[in-house]
Amino acid sequence: MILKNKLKNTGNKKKLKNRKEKRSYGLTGAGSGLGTTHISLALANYMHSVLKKKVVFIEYSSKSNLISMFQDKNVSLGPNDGYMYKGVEYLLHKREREILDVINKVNAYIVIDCGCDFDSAKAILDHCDNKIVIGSMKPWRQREYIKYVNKNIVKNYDISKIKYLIDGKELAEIKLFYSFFKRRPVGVSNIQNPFRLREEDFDIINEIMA
Amino acid sequence: MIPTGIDDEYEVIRILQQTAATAVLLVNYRKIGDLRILKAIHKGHSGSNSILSEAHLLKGFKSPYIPTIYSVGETTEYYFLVEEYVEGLSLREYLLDNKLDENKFYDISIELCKVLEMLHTAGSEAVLYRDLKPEHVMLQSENIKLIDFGISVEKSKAKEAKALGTKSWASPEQLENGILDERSDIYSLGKILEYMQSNSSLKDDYRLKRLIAKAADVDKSKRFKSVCELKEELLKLRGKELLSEKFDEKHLNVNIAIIGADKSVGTTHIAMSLCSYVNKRIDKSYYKDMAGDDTAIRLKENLKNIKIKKGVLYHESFNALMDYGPAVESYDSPFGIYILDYGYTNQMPDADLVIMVVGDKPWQSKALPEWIIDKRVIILGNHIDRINAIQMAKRYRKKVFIYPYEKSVFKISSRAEKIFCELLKNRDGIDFKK
Repeated sequence: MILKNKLKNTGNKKKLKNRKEKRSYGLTGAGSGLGTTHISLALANYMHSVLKKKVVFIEYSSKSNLISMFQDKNVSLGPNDGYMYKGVEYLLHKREREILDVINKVNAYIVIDCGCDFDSAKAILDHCDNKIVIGSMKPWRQREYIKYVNKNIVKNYDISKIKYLIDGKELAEIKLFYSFFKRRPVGVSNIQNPFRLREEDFDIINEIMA
Repeated sequence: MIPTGIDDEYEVIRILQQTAATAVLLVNYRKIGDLRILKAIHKGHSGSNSILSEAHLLKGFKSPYIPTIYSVGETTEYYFLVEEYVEGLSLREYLLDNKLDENKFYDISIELCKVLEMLHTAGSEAVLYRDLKPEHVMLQSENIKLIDFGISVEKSKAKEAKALGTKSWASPEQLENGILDERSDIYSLGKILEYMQSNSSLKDDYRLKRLIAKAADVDKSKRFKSVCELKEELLKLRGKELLSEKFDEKHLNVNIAIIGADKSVGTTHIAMSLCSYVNKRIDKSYYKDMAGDDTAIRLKENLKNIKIKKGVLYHESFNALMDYGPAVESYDSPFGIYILDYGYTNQMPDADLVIMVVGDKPWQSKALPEWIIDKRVIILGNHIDRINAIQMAKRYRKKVFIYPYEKSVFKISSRAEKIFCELLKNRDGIDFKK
């Protein structure tokens, strides 16, 4: 009986180990034009091309920005019927239910570009292991970011478990964000092409993933 | 003239060249933010087919020496072609500020030969480039690229081709609308070599002058018959015979393959230690995982004091090549001795030296592949019993080296160093530091 229990426990550990490998990252922007898609793509490509993980990229949007990119290329389809490009599988035009299914069932690293409509993406973000919020502390956009975090993040999540990104690495902007939320944001700049990453980009992507 | 109707897809960054009916533009491909070259020509222009013929000619080639064609399209008024934007300096620009040393001269010359050789031999029929000049040779960090195939033709269609080309670079028969073949390109290559020589430290090398004079002879019957012939002569002049296609590659790397006779016999451990040893005692050395085990990635995650630069991970005296996927900028392979970790396999790899790592544990396989008798293969028993080593040596009629038990991968004991020294002694291409 004891031996049986021991074996049972070993099995659970194995299951936990597998579960650990499964990671989902949900990225949401405090507004449009902040580079949410750009950073999501960089993250997905880094995970596959550098960390050699199996990666599924999901674009949660009623209007896909990426679909045209694949339509004029002869790209093959991946195991989940998504477009395969540079080793990453792209699932576009998926409904909430389908995305939740992927998060729960597909054994891969999942990066979800949730766009900037928090209300419609909330159910998906809720299911992500890692939530990343992107905004700007530039004078003309800081209000929007602070409002977004207060209205959507503070109310719904433990803010210490959220990763905050700001565009640029201005210390004053990092400090300003800190003064509001007591969280240090990651300053992101200069990832030129998410499909052609450079080694200089790795540190910042690692920081986002950490 | 900037063609209308392309704005949706392309943002014009810079006009590189333009006439009333043609334009060469540097554009941003909006969908993925990639810089590309867009060549447009008005449909009414007499040479409007040149864009289509350029695309047609290049579509079959997949080579690092020529730009990739992405698409060909048309608007109501224009044909246009979109191709890879080739970064770097042209040979002309480079020579304005630089003088070539001997190595650089031969590197570029031999690379140029290879490009032409590829064009002349790769397709179903030879493609004559017809526009070789310093402006069209782009120098990248380790490669060269030929750009602008606007007047290139297939050999069989050269008769109908117009007498186009650039004076002082194009062959006399090309400018006079004579019969063209590969030797026409050889003439232009000879002229480029002449231009390079005058801007190099080899200015007074008479043997090189003689070779160039032969390539750029006005009488085409006196020229080299093929680019390959010219390339071999250049290699001889450089002091390196054309031994094999492998040595013909610009990197004269030495490859040492490490193979396990079974799983878990310590192949990776030995490969890494060997890499550290070679780096310390012989020459620059790089570990490369050939088994697809993502070893370099795991080293990156687990080792402290690492530095990654241009696709190489540096840790103490150990270097490993990162195996990035397609979404990372590619880096040129560095020169040196490559330690290739194949893990467990039965296939004989293509390498200058193969070290077969064997174990003698009861559960480990004792059967070695037939190719073990090959001269390039050495048997290395990892911490095996001396009697087992003697038996194995008798069975395979080969000396069996014994690698000692080593705790650390990167701090190698003097006993292990001695074994590595013996393994590599008197091997071609491996010169010990004094």
